[in-house]
Amino acid sequence: MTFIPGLGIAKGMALTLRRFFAPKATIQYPEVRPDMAVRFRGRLQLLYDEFGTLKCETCFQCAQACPVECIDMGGHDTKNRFYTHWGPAETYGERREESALRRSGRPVPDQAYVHFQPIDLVAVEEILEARDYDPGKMLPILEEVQAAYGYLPIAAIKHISHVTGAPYALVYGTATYYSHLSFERRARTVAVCRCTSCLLAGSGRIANAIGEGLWTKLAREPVGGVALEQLAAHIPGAASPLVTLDGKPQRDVTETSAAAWSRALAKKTVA
Amino acid sequence: MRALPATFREQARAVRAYAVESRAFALESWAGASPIDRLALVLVPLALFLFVGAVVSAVVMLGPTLDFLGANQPLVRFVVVVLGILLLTVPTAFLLIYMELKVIARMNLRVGPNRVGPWGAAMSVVHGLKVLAKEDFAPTGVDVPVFTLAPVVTFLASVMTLLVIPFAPGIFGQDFNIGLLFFFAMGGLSVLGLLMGGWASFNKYSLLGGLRSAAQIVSYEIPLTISVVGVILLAGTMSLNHIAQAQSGSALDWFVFKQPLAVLIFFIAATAEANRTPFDLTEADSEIVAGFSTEYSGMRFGFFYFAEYVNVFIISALITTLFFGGWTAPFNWPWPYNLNWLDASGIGAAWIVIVGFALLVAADVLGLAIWLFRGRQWSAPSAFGLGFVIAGAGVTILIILACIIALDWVQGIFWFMVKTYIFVFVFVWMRGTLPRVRVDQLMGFAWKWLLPASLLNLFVTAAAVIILNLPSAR
Amino acid sequence: MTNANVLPTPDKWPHLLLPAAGGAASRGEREAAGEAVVTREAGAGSEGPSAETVAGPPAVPTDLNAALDAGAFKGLTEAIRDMTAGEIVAALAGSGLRGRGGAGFPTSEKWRACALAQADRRYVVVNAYQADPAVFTDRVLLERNPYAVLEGAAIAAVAIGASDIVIGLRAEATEAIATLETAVREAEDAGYLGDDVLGSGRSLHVEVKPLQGAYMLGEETVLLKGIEGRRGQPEQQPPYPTTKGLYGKPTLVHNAQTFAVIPGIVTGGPGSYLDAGAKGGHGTVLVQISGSVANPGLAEVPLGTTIGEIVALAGGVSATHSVKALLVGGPSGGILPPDAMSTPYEFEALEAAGAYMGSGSIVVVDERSCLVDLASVLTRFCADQACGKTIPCRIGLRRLAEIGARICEGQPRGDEIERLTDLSADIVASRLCDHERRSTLPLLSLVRYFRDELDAHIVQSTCPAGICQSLAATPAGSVS
Repeated sequence: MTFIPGLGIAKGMALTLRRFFAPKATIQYPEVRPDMAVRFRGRLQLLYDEFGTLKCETCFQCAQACPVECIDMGGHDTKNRFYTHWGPAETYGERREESALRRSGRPVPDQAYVHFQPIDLVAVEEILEARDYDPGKMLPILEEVQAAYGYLPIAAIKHISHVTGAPYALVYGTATYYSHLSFERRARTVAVCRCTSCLLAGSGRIANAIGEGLWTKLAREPVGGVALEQLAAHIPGAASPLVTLDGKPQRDVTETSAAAWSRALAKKTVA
Repeated sequence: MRALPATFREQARAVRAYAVESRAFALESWAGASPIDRLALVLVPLALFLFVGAVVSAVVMLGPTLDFLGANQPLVRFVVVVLGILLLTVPTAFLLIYMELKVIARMNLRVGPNRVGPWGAAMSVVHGLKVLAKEDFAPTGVDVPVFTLAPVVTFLASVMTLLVIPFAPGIFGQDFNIGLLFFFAMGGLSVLGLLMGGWASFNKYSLLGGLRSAAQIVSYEIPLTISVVGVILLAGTMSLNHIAQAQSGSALDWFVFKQPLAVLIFFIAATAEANRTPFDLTEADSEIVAGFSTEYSGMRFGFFYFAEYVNVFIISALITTLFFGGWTAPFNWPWPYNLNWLDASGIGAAWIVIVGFALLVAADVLGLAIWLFRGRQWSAPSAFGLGFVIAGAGVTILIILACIIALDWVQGIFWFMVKTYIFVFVFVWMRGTLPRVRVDQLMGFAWKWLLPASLLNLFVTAAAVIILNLPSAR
Repeated sequence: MTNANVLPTPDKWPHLLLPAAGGAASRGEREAAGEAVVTREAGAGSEGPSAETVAGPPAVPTDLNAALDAGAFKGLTEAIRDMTAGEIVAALAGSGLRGRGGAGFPTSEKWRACALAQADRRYVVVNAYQADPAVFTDRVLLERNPYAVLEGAAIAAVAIGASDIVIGLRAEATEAIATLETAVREAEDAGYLGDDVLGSGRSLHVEVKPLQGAYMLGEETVLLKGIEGRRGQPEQQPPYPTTKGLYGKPTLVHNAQTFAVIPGIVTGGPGSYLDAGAKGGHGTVLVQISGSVANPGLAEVPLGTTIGEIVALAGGVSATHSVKALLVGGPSGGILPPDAMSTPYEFEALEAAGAYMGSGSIVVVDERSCLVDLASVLTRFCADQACGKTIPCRIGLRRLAEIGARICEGQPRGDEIERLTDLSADIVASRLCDHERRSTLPLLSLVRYFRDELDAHIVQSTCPAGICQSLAATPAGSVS
């Protein structure tokens, strides 16, 4: 009999006893954070393409899809100058708790978030009251809130979300989709028409030139008080290319004069 | 249950109301309070009332109370024993659960719970509270009286065996002269509990689990008891207290050296009796969910759960009592050492004042030292607090040591607990190491190996007793 | 009235949608006449393909009495009182009406599916949201012929069993909204809409819903989302809106032009519609011609008319310039060569040519424009309008735009055209909605028809039209 009864057990138990005194492999998160590999797929990381541009399109799909609602859109602008709440996705730890509360059926308590400017919510309450707190009427509610404040404050969206029970991502997704809703207060708006006739007449180049003068790009958040956006519909009868300032067509803006005109406008608006 | 809001408007109102509510503790009404709130509202005043009432009545009725107690010693003893045993089981179970979590984690190169309390110590308490807070239901189709009684029977069977275990000279429940027989009789009652649980669950898998469990326990009882007969022969008595006393002296007097095979058999059989790894297939999650206790949840399951851990403690206690000397010290030391100057009768109540004074002085000194040497980073109250803690710990340790040295029963408890917990550790260690056996391997092992081995041990021991004419052979 | 130039069309062409431009040949004259045209119904068209201007009392389009005199709401009366739902759908099927939203789907199929779907509530949605920013055909239709659209929608509601009609149109079309609301009020007062229509016990409620803020709202599922007030992302179809549409109920979505001809079909029979058309197409469609033409404007043309005839309506290209290309289909349409002038303006022919009917836009491009630049900015425009739901659209179109931009800036990679075609094929194959497919059309049609211009940019680094600044400009007119 070559096998000794109990030897296997003894060897096994000796091993575990050795292990008992050995240093432990547990990493005490969150005091100690593990060193993750570059291609680790378990974390939300934004990718860059070969030109160095962020691939994230802020399409909001990840935020809508996340069942825990821990993703929100925000970030720094490309020149790292300011924080914008409309940008590539990032995860908000506070959102997890909020959504966990909501999923447990309990009402979500009010929280003031540092990122968002608090506002007087009386107007929002009145609008919600008139619309019966119905999340099915979200677009009219948002339009009315924008009309009341002059822009769409994020704090208002947060309030709407946790009072009506509609997920914040959904309300935010609706607000970011429609171009007539804006999160920033706009002093003036320059709109460039991009219909086919205007594009033929060079409105794309005019838009770029105006953008340079205003330090922004078409449909990006404005730096100064002047926003550059695309005209929703060509004004019937107006000549191409069509550039409007606060809705009024500007006839003297051409490809050559657009940059200078926009720079003057920017200076005027700041002053 | 609050009704679900019918309209968004109502929901908005509910949200606002809750936000107001959650900012301040406001119980508007009994109907609006949650069950936990209600429990707190009732229990806290009641406890306060009872406590104050007890203190007052004790103070007022001190004299007549002491007379009554003196006159009814058996009654007092009964009450104290029962309370002691019941109060012993739950903290023991908590401690064992905590030990199991941490020790097995450490063997797996993990850390185990370390967030819940200091070093995770509150984990067991949390488990206990969780089990208490669960909904107490009986599934459809169960036989409700049997279903309810099964965990009670199992728990009681385990707990009653604690009556006969000697923790120290003079500290035991009852010293039957058939103590060991009583022990095994009570232990066997737990089979009844298992069968009741498995049957009443209205679940075929529970029934099978219960039957298998019963079969396992019954078949391992035989080698268990037969292996112990050798000890009985050596000690000459079935009283556990006397068996422990028979091993007094030095460690070499312990029966483990005289009955090595019996120890092994007993250890294995006891592991099977307690449904511990490697014999825990009837309650292993991967085998049959939870065996006979599948349908149990809440406090009913809590009873089964605690009964299992108390069982581990009990068989460890039995092993130490039978084979490792019980409460005897492994080496001869001068106990009880008569520390005359600790005799309280001379100084009397002034002892308390002296100890308290010493504690305060030590706390001040230590606090000052900490405050000075920490460069005034600590605030004075914190430093004093830490000093108090250290001083208190120091004083406590000194008192315990003094008691261990001076009082034989404290010393007995100390050694008993040390040895018992060593065996508890071994059980936990085995759980962390060994794989499970199959049921046919299990039964085969009991009947084909343990039983003949224990019979062999019995014959050899009996022969040795007669041939060597040992004092107990009469 | 919207300041849109409605072009006069030959009298022999049917005028089913817009009032007949009888007599007055120029825009100025008609304006001077104070818009004294009559709102007509196709009831008169049953006399044959040649339509005549019916003299009647000068009417404002919202004048209900004038409209009734011209035959408005006759179809609705017939539909409610005399016809069953099945008969209405059969009439529609017989007429061969195809949706004017751009895809040309047979109308009766949708009606049948909607009527058969199990639900307690159905909706009729009129899609008058013209996504193309420079095309005003739908709003002109609504301003000049509101009762036709309302009646068509009402007949549809009767046929499928709906009682709610939603008209989705651009919030920028303020005159059309005002006209429509007036028309709805008048019709309700007269009992043709509202509760208890024509004493039958049915109710037909019309809601005019102005929408704004997204180009994608022209797509039918996105329009439904916009009406519901949600983020406008299209849905996977099936389930089609006829089964699960607005608020989850079966919904019938058609373009306003489609609804406008339905009363005529109901009163005049399917034959009347079949007869009105040319060369294999049935009915008429509203087209807007712009670009390098003498008299840009919109017109009602029979389906099947050649593009050349349509361009001629607008006065043709001026003498000093020549046609370089035709952009058919708006920002997401195809760029066709001058040979396409002989292509009939009709669904299948356009698809085969690599264009798309869409909102009915024809833009004439002359030699002063660079087609590569045009295709590039059009693709950029389409990429910017993407709702963001799917990757091929959101990222693929952006990459296409980048390819176009690189070609225009003179920094093409070696395999641009191959990459372009591969990427377009992938986008089309994996698309969720039609926007993705159509957005690939500008660049793909360049590859198909204007390969030489692409090669000039890529291989020879020149821009024949001199538009692309970073490339060596050759004087306009010289072809390389």
